[in-house]
Amino acid sequence: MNGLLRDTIVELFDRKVIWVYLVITLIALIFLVFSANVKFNMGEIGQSDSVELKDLGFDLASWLLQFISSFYFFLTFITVLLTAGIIPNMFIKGRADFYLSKPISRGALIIKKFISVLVVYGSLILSTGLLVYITGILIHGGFSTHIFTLMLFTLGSYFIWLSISFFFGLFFGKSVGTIVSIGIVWFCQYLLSIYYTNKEIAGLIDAEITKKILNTLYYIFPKTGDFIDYGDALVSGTVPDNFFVVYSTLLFALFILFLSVTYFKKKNY
Amino acid sequence: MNVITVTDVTKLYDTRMKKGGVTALDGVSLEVLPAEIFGLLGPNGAGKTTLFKILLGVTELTTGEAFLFGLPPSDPKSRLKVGYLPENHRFPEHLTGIGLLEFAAYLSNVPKSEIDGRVDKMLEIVDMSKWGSMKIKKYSKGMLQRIGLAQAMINDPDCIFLDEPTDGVDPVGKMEIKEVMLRIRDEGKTIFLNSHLLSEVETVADRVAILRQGKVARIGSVDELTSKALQYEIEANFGESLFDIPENIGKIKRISTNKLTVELVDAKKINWIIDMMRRKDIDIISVKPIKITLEQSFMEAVKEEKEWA
Repeated sequence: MNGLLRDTIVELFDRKVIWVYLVITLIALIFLVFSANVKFNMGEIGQSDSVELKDLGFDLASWLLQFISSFYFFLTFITVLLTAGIIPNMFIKGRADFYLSKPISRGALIIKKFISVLVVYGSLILSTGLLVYITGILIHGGFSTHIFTLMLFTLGSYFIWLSISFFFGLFFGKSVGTIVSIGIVWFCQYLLSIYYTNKEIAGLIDAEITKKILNTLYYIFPKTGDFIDYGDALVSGTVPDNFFVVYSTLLFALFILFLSVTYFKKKNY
Repeated sequence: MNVITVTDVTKLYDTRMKKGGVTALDGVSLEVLPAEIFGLLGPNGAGKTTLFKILLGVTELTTGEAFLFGLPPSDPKSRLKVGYLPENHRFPEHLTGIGLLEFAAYLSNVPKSEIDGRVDKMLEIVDMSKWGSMKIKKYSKGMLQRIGLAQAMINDPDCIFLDEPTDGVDPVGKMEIKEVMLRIRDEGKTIFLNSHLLSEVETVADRVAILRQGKVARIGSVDELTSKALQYEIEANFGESLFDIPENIGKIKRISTNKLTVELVDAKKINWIIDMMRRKDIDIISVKPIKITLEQSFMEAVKEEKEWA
């Protein structure tokens, strides 16, 4: 495990990916610092010269969590794109032999690599978000333990996307194919989510068979968008009726990971 | 126990048009013994690298059986004491030379406490100590081959698969790699060598197999393959002596006043020739089997392929 973990870290620095995170974090920090100085001119409504956000009864703790949620969402999206090439790059012609000829089972190799990438990039996402959050608290105040819920859902979201990315990476063996496939999965789950949650749109479909197919697809497909929404709902204090979306999406990720290992074991290089 | 046992192995590759449309290996059988250098020869596309990949579990065989240290290639344990230098390798470029060796040691289950010592030793053996801290992407072809050889030996393997080990290496480097191979063999280890440099194989290999269109065309020791099938050259003072050889002994290929070239039906029949010459009072100076180079043997095998085609 240590070897693959270390290799993933070395690769992270070699690809200079770390700069992407630094720049995004820096932009978020600058935004937070400037937001602390935002004052509204209230002269027009007859009050004193200017007031700050908190003077208006603005829930800064909630605002900060929403900001971090968006930050995490963006960072997860970027990380999925950045890590889409890891598996295709690992098994290109001439390199696959190096890994596959070692006395390590294919299943162990792919699972250990998966955990390494999840740990390294997941830590990067969470730690940068936490850094931004701490900075936000220092400026605005209002710490909330909901940040940990947010972190958990962000890691869960990355876990789901990474399992999808690994599968397509092994299947296509090319970064472009992997990214396009991820995009297609995202688009499909987005459409299915709209269909399932919007009764007006669902009402436009008459045929029962089509409804059944769409419902089945919704249940099968990873509901990554809804998964994040569940996290946001929990953070805002709303407890959803059930956690079907969370469980089924995590199960999907585990299933596709199992599928990746099974496929990889059979693949000839 | 054989290090490698391959029995009637066939490998078919799918094409876009047809499943199993390309036959890479067709009923290959061979055995590689402990402490020998076994050379695998053949023209491009003969199936040499495919055989390597099957034995190392990189690709699956279609039919037949293959064993490495008595275990099937699908069992990762079969590769515990195996090293491999692939042809046209592309090692992870984000690593340094030292990083690659450490990573290879980790993947090969080398105990943590031994890794540093082994890395230093391997760098020294392949004369790369000075360049160990440099990123692999900055290495020349020769340096890549050296570090590739080092990673193949990092786990102190009992059998090393070398696919074109001297490819891109300068003459001095080639000589050094050859010395390393001989030293490994002398340590009682096995080398399975795939090289298109016939002279290189001829000087280091104990036994050789020539693959032709996925089949073993010839197999044997280098001596056997370079001995012209049962032909002998006899140097003697024949003078005016005239004689003939019965068909059940062999036939005369060439004869002059001091040289006779015969092709025998059996190697033991040379004694009949010698006895006959003694009876005729012919002074025998020397009797030697006719040798050809491995290259000539290889070319004959390839020529047979063309004729066969």
